Amino acid sequence: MSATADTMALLRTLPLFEGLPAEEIDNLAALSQPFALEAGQVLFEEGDPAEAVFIIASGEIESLKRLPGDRALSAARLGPGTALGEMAMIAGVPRVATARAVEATAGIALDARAVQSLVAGSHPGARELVYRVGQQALHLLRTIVERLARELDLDKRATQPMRAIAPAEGELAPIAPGPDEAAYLATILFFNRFTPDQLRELFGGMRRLAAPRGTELVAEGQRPHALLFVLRGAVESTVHHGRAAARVRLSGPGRIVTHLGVLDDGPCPYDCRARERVVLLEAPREQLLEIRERDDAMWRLFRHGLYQDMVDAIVQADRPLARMAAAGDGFTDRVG
Amino acid sequence: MCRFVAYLGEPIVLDEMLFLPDSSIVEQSVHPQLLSAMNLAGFGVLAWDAESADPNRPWTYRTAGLPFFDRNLRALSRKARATALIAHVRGVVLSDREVVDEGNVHPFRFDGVPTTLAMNGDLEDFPTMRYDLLSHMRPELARQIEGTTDSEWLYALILSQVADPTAPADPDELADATMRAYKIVREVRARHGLERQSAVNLVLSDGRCLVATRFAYDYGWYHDSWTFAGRERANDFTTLWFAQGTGYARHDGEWSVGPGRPESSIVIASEPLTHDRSRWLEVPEYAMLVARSGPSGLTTETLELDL
Repeated sequence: MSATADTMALLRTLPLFEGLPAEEIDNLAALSQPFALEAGQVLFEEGDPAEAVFIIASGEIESLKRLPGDRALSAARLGPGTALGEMAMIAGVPRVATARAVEATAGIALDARAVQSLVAGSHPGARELVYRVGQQALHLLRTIVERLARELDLDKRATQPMRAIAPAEGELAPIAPGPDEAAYLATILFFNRFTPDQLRELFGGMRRLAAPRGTELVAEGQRPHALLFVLRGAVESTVHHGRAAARVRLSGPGRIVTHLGVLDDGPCPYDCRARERVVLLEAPREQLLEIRERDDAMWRLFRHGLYQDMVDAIVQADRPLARMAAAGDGFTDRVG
Repeated sequence: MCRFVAYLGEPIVLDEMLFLPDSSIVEQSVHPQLLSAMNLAGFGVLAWDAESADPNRPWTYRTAGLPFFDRNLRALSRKARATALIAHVRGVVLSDREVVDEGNVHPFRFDGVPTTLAMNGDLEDFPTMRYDLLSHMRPELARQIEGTTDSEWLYALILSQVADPTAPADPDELADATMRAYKIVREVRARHGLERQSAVNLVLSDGRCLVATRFAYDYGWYHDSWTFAGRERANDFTTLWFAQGTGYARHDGEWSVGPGRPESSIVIASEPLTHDRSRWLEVPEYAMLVARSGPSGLTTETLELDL
């Protein structure tokens, strides 16, 4: 396949590119290279630098998380029309799993940096593509959490028994930002990418909330109306199945608690509780939409931070599944 | 901030854990992967060999010097075998208040006590709380404290919660004793209004079991000063990893445990001993990992530390 007419034709057939202007697809096609793999051949290894997004035209690729003792957890099987390694485009983090061809597979590779350059320029199609890939990552996070909930079983030795933290007597209450907050924000994850002026403009009007250890912040099944950023302390997101429970994520300073439920408009699949006494910043959905409407450099910084945190959430959500698979609790695959 | 590695399982040559992996514990003294500070304040190793004379007594090597320049250590590690070990590189704040000498080098082991300890953590303002811990300690153990570290005091505090510290360790009792000691520390911190994040990752062993914790008091309430403990962000909850399987050897060019059942070996480390982290798993936060070897192989258990 040449990276011209055939590539454009392929891109047009994929839901990910549906409705994008022809010249945008043209731009993306110009950035792509064909790839072909034999059955069993590895496309990339976990931990490799992520430089490209791969789109499968034919064949099948398995995404694997390697485990101790030459075992592996099969994360997903992807066929024609799906994108693989899309985290490269949205977060620029190393590969979180190994991708291996199940059968002879072919497709195209999009250079992640070049796509990012298009996004930074006036290319609405590229921006729309990044948005769709972000939604795909959210879907992946929800899929992992749902799988974890299904697999939880107290009889499985790797399921960590979790006692409920003693419920707190207090509740989530608004507080005024401290005088040293701006200096502090410049030192923590997510916020450290903004200038003091940007911090004031973006977050100045949002509420700060405090809660004692043990306070329930979001109940499983609830539809939260705001992203909660942890400023101090920590929030634990826990998924339940019968009497079994597993921590999906521990969110410390600079991490976001409610991607699922706010960014994908579905019910929150876990409960969120203050594991330590906590100070949060509340970013209501309407204000997020206003920031998104700006579509400027500040929004791009914001979105990049959001996606990086989402990828971290995906990596953390994978950990209990990996521990269960490593213990051989019913769904372990051997590395071939 | 320190790094440690602990092993329990089939015999290994020490070199295979101390030097040969591409991110070995000795390498971590200068190039840790998941920590921004170096660990230059000493190296120690305790190793048990089930085939040796007096197998319950570990052989010991401690130095306040730098392990990568230590020819004696390298020569010994190429010959010595172990069925269990704890090795540790010590990291301290760059301050003239720190005491860098052999007495502060981990792992700690009191005379007549089979259980040993190494720690990767830092209790906030330890001098303020130190003497409150004394009332919870057995005098005969407190008297054996030689150094100035919070770790050695915590060692004495945990041992003081065990019915008979001179007896072979019972992993369940050791786990309970550790939890009781952590609760005492929490009470003492509250009494003194200490509310900043303090990591307490440690490993205990008597050569037949390992008890390791990944725990922090007041996680997410960083130190105001930009000290070594307050500097970490992506890995702000001090890390702890493990790998369990059969044996420990080079597989596809990487040092790791092997496949197969029943499992016989476990490695627990502050961070993976290889740059390829895909053959390692993270110990959950606020958790205790208990491993014991028995006639039917290795058994492990993860307990929640909700203190």
